[in-house]
Order: sequence, then structure tokens, then C-alpha cells
Amino acid sequence: MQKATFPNRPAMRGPGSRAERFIGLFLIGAVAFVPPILSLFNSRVLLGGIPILYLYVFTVWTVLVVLAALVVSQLPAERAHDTPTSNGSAAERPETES
Amino acid sequence: MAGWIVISVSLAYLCLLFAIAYYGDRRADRGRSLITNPAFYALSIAVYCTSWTFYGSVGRAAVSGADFLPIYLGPSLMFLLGWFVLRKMVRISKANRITSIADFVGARYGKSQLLAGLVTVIAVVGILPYISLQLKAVSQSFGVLLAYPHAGQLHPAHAAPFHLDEALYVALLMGAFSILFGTRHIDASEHHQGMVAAIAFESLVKLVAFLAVGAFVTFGLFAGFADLFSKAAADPELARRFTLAESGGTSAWIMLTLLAMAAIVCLPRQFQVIVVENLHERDLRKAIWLFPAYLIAINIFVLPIAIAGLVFFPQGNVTPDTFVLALPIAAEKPWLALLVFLGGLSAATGMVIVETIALSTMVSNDLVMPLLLRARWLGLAGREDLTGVLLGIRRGAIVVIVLLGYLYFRLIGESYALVTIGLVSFVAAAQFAPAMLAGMFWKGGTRAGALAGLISGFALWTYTLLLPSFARSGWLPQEFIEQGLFGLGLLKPYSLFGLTGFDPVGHATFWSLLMNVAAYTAVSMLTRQNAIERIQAARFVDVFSQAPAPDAAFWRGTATLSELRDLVARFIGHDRAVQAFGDYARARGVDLDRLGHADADLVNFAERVLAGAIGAASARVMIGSIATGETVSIDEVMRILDEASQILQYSRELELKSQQLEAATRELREANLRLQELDRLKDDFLSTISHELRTPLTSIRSFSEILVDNPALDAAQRSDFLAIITREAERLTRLINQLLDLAKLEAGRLDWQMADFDPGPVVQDALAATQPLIAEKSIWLETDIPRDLPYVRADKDRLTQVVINLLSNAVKFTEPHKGRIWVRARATEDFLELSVRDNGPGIPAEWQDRIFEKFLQVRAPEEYKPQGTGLGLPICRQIIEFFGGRIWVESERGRGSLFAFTVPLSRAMTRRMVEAA
Repeated sequence: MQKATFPNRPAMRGPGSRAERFIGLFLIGAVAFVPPILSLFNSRVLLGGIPILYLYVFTVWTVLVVLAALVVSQLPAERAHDTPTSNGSAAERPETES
Repeated sequence: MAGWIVISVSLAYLCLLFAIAYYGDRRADRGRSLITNPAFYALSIAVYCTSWTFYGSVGRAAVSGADFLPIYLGPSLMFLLGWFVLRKMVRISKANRITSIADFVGARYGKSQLLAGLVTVIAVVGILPYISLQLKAVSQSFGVLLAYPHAGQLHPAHAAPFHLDEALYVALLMGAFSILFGTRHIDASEHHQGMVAAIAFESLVKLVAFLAVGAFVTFGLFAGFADLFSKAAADPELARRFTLAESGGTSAWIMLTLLAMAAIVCLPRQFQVIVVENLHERDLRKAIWLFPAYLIAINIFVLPIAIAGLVFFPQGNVTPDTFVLALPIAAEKPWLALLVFLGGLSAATGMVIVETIALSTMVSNDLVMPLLLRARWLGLAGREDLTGVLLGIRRGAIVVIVLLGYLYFRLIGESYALVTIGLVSFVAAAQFAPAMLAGMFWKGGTRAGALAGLISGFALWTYTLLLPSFARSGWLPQEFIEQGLFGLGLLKPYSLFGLTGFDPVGHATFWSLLMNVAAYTAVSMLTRQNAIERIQAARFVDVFSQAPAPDAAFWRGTATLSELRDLVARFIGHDRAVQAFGDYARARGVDLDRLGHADADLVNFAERVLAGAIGAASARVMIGSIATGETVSIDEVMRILDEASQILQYSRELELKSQQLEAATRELREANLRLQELDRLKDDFLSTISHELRTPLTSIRSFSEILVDNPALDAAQRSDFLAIITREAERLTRLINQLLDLAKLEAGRLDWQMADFDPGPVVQDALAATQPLIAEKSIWLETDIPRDLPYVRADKDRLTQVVINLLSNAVKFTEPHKGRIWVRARATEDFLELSVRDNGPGIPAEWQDRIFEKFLQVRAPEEYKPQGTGLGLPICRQIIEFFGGRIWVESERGRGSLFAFTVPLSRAMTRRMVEAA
């Protein structure tokens, strides 16, 4: 019966925990782009011909965007809620669906 | 460059925009949307990058180095949270037919007209400078281009009177565009697909133009990034731009990041493209990474262009804000300069278009319309068809906003750098963030709290940014900035209460947001929500949960259907009203004509339809004017919401319970099947057993009767009969003993005499015991029993019983004279393995697993049917398993079978053997 106690747990957790990775990414970004960390790179040194601060910011930025794209691609496909509302006068769905 | 070239190219470009928008709308009308690809959505969000980005970023980088970046890092961070924040905004807005950010805030706090109006006022006041900034950029870049080939100088004849000012005409054209493509529908919550297509196109143009000039500067004027940067590094004054500003650089960075995070959702045009114009919620998935990627792309060349500008125009006679354009001009690349101009134009026009559409919706729905409807002397409330009025207000608002923007630019704009103006607007828009974001995740925020927060934030913004900007333009005395209000040092607008260490924007951001959040939170905690606030809070915060929407319960009273339909028709037009009600009737399966009175559900439907046209707050007032009866009280709302959440919890529990029940039922069903099978087996067993018992009993009885009835039988016959009786009685005893054994085994009540012993003699004993049977059928027996087998731990008698059973089975199934039996014993590391092989008929694979089950033989085909009770093998298995070994069969049809079992070796013996070795 142990298995039957939380039968839909995995299904409910799956998308949630994957989307939670966005929060992780956000925290990484928030830490990486505020002064204490940022000031480590706040120098006029060039690395490979690029100012080190810019190299750092653009690298982290790009990595974050790529990771975000990865997380998005792993999210389960969206169902429902998605009836185009372009023809706005169309009948409304009952609220409970949305 | 001749003015006519620039003007005609600009006009051609704007015509192209109109064409794209027109085509986009045509396609949308025919149901074949042009912008189905989510990339359009992401590109339209890039309306965030205005001419302020296009020209101003380079200007800012040239002046203060790296701190142009937070303006783009902030939104990128916000989009990482897009899955939680933006998706919720979109879902809430679709469910409530939100038309603008003012509508959003107003609807969240009890559909408050006051709040929506306040947001509108703040937005208009705050954003006007931003619009004028775009016009300024267009005008400035036009002037720079006209001065070609004199880089960076304004055309001498540029200080034109305003009827010759091209910025005015650009502004008017933009207004026309917004009117044509932004106010097509009455329903402001509908999508303007043509406008979105044009905006997406503009985003592409500005990106291409900026990348083109960046690549030209980096690889044409210099030999790549490394060359450019190393040349700059040689000059300490230039290398300063590689880092944050030395004083206050870090605190400004944090403030700007925060500000930009708020701006990306709070600027009216961003709310418009992200939320109102969102076609499908799933489009957000792509925008979450594509929009930040766009921001990265458009920022890569900012610093190189800034550095190049500083290198090429060292005298400072060229404004850094025009470097983007001045560099290609200085390099005498007229077409590149023209492309850059178009890029800047597209950045400016895109912003103006979306911003005016967003602002005009807010002004008409949340400011003008409520006032007009209240002003009874206009008689507007009684007018038949208000659709014309509504559209007229929106169009008028667009024209007024554009002209006000132009006026602001002419009067005040010249005194400021581009970036500063933009940031002033950012701070104003950021005031919406606490009420909006907290309102989506915290049910406790009240209308009074939101009002208090907005008012204090706006007041501080006015005091620390707007008034000083007036002072700088000479409208207020300069002493206001330098000495503070009334000469009080603590009230200096750029260092309020003595706070220093910030630039003016960071300073204003800090104070206004701090007071805003503090007032919002404190007042929210000190005030109570009324019924509709409570309902709306739940609808916003719980939009993803499946709780039944409580709004249906808000209107107690009813309205007559015709009144309701007339009301809706007055705002959205007769045809569309009829269509909307028809759709509703079809979706709910009700016949409206039979429905004299509209029930609460229909009243709420009508309210939502109205909300799409005139905003939630006005819609509520209008519905309230015709719906009779009373609204629910706060206590009832609390009860309803409690019930709703309880129902939600119950339904979750129910779901869980029903799943558990299903699982239990499934298990029960399986158990029941097994029971039925067992029951049938037991019946079969009983009938077999009774048959087996009856056979010897019958013969005993009949022979006994013969003996009783015929006392004269001769002694030889008599002893024959008695021998039969004895034999049959023995058979009966054996059978009953076996049954008893089995019963005891199963009940675990057998007396086991476990001991360590040599298995060799046991096998020999068993062979001796079966020798008569083997000899009787002339079976050839071959044994392979090593002499020095290790001791096993088992019950000697039971083990003998097992071996005898296997041997006698083998005998039973082999033919006389042809039969062969092999007996073999082997010791492995832990077990003794004994096998008995015969050349009988074999056992089909499907029976092999089951022959160790008791009662099986009953259903076995005749040829495998053993002579005997069929209890032998089950008993063997019980015994062997008790010893801790296993028993199995290997067989193939027609190739004989092999029964084998293992018995664990004696541990003591094993140890001794190991020690000996």
C-alpha cells in the first residue's frame, strides 16, 4: 500500500522540480551579477584582448541563457489553457478550467 | 547628405511598417495568423530596446563605463523567473481580460477605479519624458545625418521652427500608426497582431543595424576586439571604461539592476507586449531564453563603439549619444549611416507605437471613461451606443500623448542626456512593482495598502527626480537642488535626509521603492479587505489552483437579460454583443430566450466581456448599475473562500482516496482470483483424496464382507484375502500419514530432528529401500555417490523420505526393462546437490513449474498422472525448503527428466574442513 499512498506524487513533482531550476539559475545570476563577486573582475586587465569585466559578464550571461533554454526544453509540453483568445468574443471557458 | 534622401528613405521605411501591420491584421482576420511563431513574441518584447538603447547605451558607456549593463542584466534575470512571474501574469490577465497594467492593479485590489486611475496618472506623467526621449533621438539623429559629411555636428539649419521639425511629423505618423493598428478593436484585451508583427520587424531592423555598425567599427576601423581594446588599454583615461565607475559604481549597479528588473514587467509597453499581446501562454517558453539572447546580442558592440568614438573624436565635440551614427559618417560610409539612422528610427517608433497604445487604453478605460460615466450632465450613461465614444477617446488619447511628448521634448528635453530621461521613467514605472508583484503572490495586500504605496512612491519620485529636472531646465530655481526645499539641507532632492553615495537615479530608486514597499506592507496589514477585494485577491493569487472561482458568488442579485445585453452592446456594439451572448449560450447549453432573468453566472460573464472593453473597474460599476439585489458581505466571502479551499482540499483527498481504493480493489481482485483457484484446487484435492481413500477402503470392505459372509472359505484363500486387506490398510495408512505430514508441514508443527550427518549412507539406505521396486521393473540403475561427501545439516529421516520419493517417482515413470535411472551426488561450496535422472516420458515445460504444487496431478493429463496421492513432491519441497535448500526439475518431453535438490552443508563441518586445509 505504500505505493498507493501518494500515487500522483511523481507526476506532480516532475514539472515542478524542473521549473524550480529556474530559481536556481536566477540565484546564480543574482549572485554573479552583484558587486561582491562582480568587483573581483572590476579591473582594467585584458584577457585575450577583452576587458576582464566584460568577458566575465558576457560569459556568465550567455551560459545562463543557454541553461535557461535547456531547462525550457526539458519542461513538459504545455496542455490546455492555450485556446487562442485572438477572437476575443468567443465564448469564455468556464473559470474552473483556467 | 541631402535632406530629401533621408526623408524619403524614412518615409519608405514607415510605409513598409504600415504595410507589414496591415498584412498582419489581414492575416489575423482570416484566421491565418502571421505571428504564430513564438519568435515573433520574443522579438516584440525587444521593444524594450528603444532608441535609448540604440544611441544612449553607447553614450552611457562612453561616459561612465560598464554601468549601461544592468539595464539589460536586470530583465535577463527577471526572465529567468519568467516561468513563475510572467506566466502567472499572463494567466491572470487572460482569465480576467486585463487590458493594461492599470487594469491589472485596479482589478487585483477589488476592481478599484481609484487605483487604476492613479496608476494611469503615474504612467502618463512618468512615461511622457520617455516618449519625448524617442522623439529627441529621432530629431537628433536626423540632424546629425543631415550634417554629413561633418561627423557629429548638427546641421546648422537644424534649429527649425516646429512646423518644420521632422520630429513632429514622425510623432504624428506614429500616432497615426497607433490609431490605425492599435485601436481597431473595442476589446482592448484582444491582440493587435499587425502591430506586433511590425514591432517584431522593427526589433530585427534595429538589431541588424546595430550589429552592422558594431562589426564595421570593430573589424573595419580596428582589427578586431583585441586590437581595439589593447589600444584603449594604453590610455588610462580610456581604460576607465573597462570598469565600474570608481565612486558609487557598485551601489548604482545594484539599483539599476533592480530598477530594470521591475521595468521589464512594469513599463506599460512591456506589459502590453508581454501580457496583453500574448497569443499563447506557451510562447513564453521560447521568450524566456530568446529575449535575453537578443539583449546579449545588442550589447556586445556597445563598448567597442563607445571606445572607438572616444578614440576618433577625442576633442569631445561629438556627443557620445551620437557616436553610433557619427562613426560611419566620419568613415564616409553614407549607406551604413543611413542604415544606422533607420535602426534608431525603428527603435524609437516601435517604442512610441506600443507605449501610446498602452497608455491610450489606460487613459480611456481607467481615467476618462469612468469620469464621463459619472458626469451625469453629459447624459453619457444613458446613451445608446458608446463604442464610438470609446474609440474616439482612445484615438484622442493617442494624439494627445504623442503631442505632449513632443511638447515636453521641445520645452525641456534638450537639457538632458538620453539615458537620464529614460531612467526617470524607469523609476516611475517601478513604483507599480510592489503592488503588482506582491499582489500576485500575497493575498494580504489591500486596496488601501496599494494606494498608500503608490502615492508615497510617486511622491518621492516627483520630489527626487521630476522636480529637480524642472529645476535643471530653469522652471524652478536652481537653489531647490543645491539647498533643498525652503533651504533645508535635509530636503535636498539629490540627497534626501542626508543620504549620499548614490547617483540621483539610484538615490530616487532607493527612497521611492523603500517608501513604496513600506507603505504598501504597513497599510495592508493595518487595514481590512472588503468582500470584493478578498475575492479578487484569491482569484489572482490562486489562479493556477483549480479551486472553484468564487466570483460567481459575488453578485447575488440578477438582472434582466435584455438589460444586460443592451448594456454590453452599448460598449462593444450590438453585433458583437449578440455574438458573445450566443457563444455563451452554446458553451453552457442554455437557451437565452427562455431565460428571462440572467443568473449570477451570466452576469459575471457579461462583466468579463465588458472588462475586456472598458477595464475591470468600470465594468464592475456598469454592471452594478443594472444588477439588482445585494452583493455578498465580507463574512460570506470568507466563508465561500474557506469553503472553496476546503472543497479543493477535499477533492484532493478524495482523489487520493479513490486512487488508494482503486489500488486496494485491484489487490483484492487478485487475491480473490487466487482464493478461487485455491478453492477449486481444494475441491479437486478432496475429490481425489476421497477417491484414493475409497479405493483401498472399498477393497478392504468387500474382502472383509466376503470373509464374514463365507466362513467356509479355505485357509489359503482366506489368508490371500487377509493379505490384500492388510496391504490395502497399509496403503490407507500411508496415504493418511502423508496427509498428516503435509498438514503438519504446512502448519509448521512437524518435529524436526536436525543434526549433522554424512549424507552418503542416507542415499544408500534410500536406494536399498527402493531396490525391490527397481528390481521388479528390471530398471538399470547407475549411481555416482562419492565416499567422502561432507556432512549436511538436516533431518535424517526426512531427507531419506525425499530421496525415496524421488527414486520411486523415477521408477513409476520409467518403462519396465527399458528404464534407466541415474543417481548422482556432488558437494559444492555450501551445498550438497543430489540428482535423480530417468529416461521416462519427461515433463512438458508448462507443467515443470507447477508439479511441486500440491493437488496438481489432478489436472495433469493422463499420461503424466502419477500413481499415488500426488502429495510426494509438495512434501519434498516443503522439507527441502525447510532445510534451506531448493528443489527443481529439468526435463524435456520424451527425453526423460531430472529431479535435483540441494541441502546446506553442516557449518561446523565446513569450518572444520577449512581449518584442516
